[in-house]
Amino acid sequence: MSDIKIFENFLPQDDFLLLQEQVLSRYFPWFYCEYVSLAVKDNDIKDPAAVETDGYHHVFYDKEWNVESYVNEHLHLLYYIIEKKLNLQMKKLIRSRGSVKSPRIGFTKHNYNLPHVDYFFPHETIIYYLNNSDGNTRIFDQKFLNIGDNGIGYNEGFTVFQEVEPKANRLLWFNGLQYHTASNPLNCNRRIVLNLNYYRK
Amino acid sequence: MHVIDNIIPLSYQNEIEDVLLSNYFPWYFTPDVTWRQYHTDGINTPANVHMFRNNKNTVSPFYQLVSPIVHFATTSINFHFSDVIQCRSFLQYPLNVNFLANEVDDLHIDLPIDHLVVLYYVTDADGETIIVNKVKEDDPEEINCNYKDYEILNAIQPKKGRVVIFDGKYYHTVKQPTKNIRCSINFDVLGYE
Repeated sequence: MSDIKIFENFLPQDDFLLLQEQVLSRYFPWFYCEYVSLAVKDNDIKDPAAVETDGYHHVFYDKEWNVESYVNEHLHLLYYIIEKKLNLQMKKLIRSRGSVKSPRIGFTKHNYNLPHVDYFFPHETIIYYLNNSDGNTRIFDQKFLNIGDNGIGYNEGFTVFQEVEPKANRLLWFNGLQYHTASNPLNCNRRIVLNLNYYRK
Repeated sequence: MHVIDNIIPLSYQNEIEDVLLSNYFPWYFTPDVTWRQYHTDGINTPANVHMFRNNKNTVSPFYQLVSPIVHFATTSINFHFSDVIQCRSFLQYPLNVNFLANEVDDLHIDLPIDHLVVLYYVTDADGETIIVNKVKEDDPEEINCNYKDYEILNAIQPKKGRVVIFDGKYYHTVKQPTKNIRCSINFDVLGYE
C-alpha cells in the first residue's frame, strides 16, 4: 500500500473560513452530474457495497476541458500551501473540482460509491474537506496497474485499506492510482470537498 | 385548475431537461425547500434551486429557454398573461429518513397577491403536487401546515411535459420524491381571464 497522508487544520483558520464561507454560500453555483464516481453503465464494478448516486460539481480548473472557474483564483493560496506543506512542486494541475453529496434514501453506513481512480495515468490526488460531515472516504488496497480487457482495470475484490472521515480543513493526500471512493452522508445535509489531481515535478 | 400533458413539443421538453441537468446549468443549495430555515423538530429538507426571474426582473440567462412555457400554458386556457413575477426551478432528490421531517412539505402559497401558478414538470418523478381547499384570504396565522387537515382538491403526479395551472390563492405543497430526482419549474404569473 502506498503512502497516505492526512493533514489537520491545513489552511490557516481565517483563510479556511473565507474559502468555506464562499463555497458553502447559497450563492455558490453547483452543477448536476448523474454519476459522482463512474458512469454505472460503462463500468462493470462488482462490489455489493458500492452504490453510485448523482451529485453536484463545480469545476474550478480542468486542463483537458480547458475550463477555469472565476473561483479558481481564490484557490491559489490553497495550491501554494499544498506545495509548501507537502514539500512538492506541481508540474501541472490536471483538475481542481468541488463536489457535493447529499443524504440519499437507501444509502447506509456500509455503502460507498463506486471504487475508481480519477485518471488512468500516474498522478497524485488530494481531497480537501470543507465541512464536518459523515460519508467517509475509502482508500482501497488495490492500485490501478493497467486497463486490462474490461477497459477499467480492477472491477471486483476491493478491500478497504483506510477510511477517512470528512472534517473541516482536513486534507488527504494519496497516490492517484490508488483506488478510492466517497460515500453519501447519512446525518449531514451535504458533504462538500475539493478534489485536486496534479502531476508532481 | 388545469392539468395538461405535453404542453410543449417533445423536442422542447427534451431540450429543457438536457439543459437543466447538464454540467453547465447552475443550481444553488437551499437547506430547506419550503424556505423555512428550521423546522421546529430541527429537521429540514435540503434541495437545490435556480431563480430565473425574481420580482419581475430576469436574473438568469437561462430564462429565455423556459419562458415560452408560460405562453403555451396561458394560451391553452385563454388566460391573458401580462407578466411573470417570479420563476424558479427546484431540483429535489430522494432524501434519507434522517431528513424527512414529513414526507410532505409544508403548505404554502407562493406570493400574497393575486396570481396564477404555472407548474411545469421537467422529469418523470414521484412526489405529487398537492393542492388543498384553503385559500389565502384565510388568516395565515390560522393555517395549519399539514395538508391532511384540509380537503385535497388535486394531487398531481409529476410527468415530463405536464403542466399544472391553478389560481395562486390556493395553498399547495409537494411530497418528497422517494425514487429519483424531482425537477420542476414554477412560474407565478400576472394577468386576467
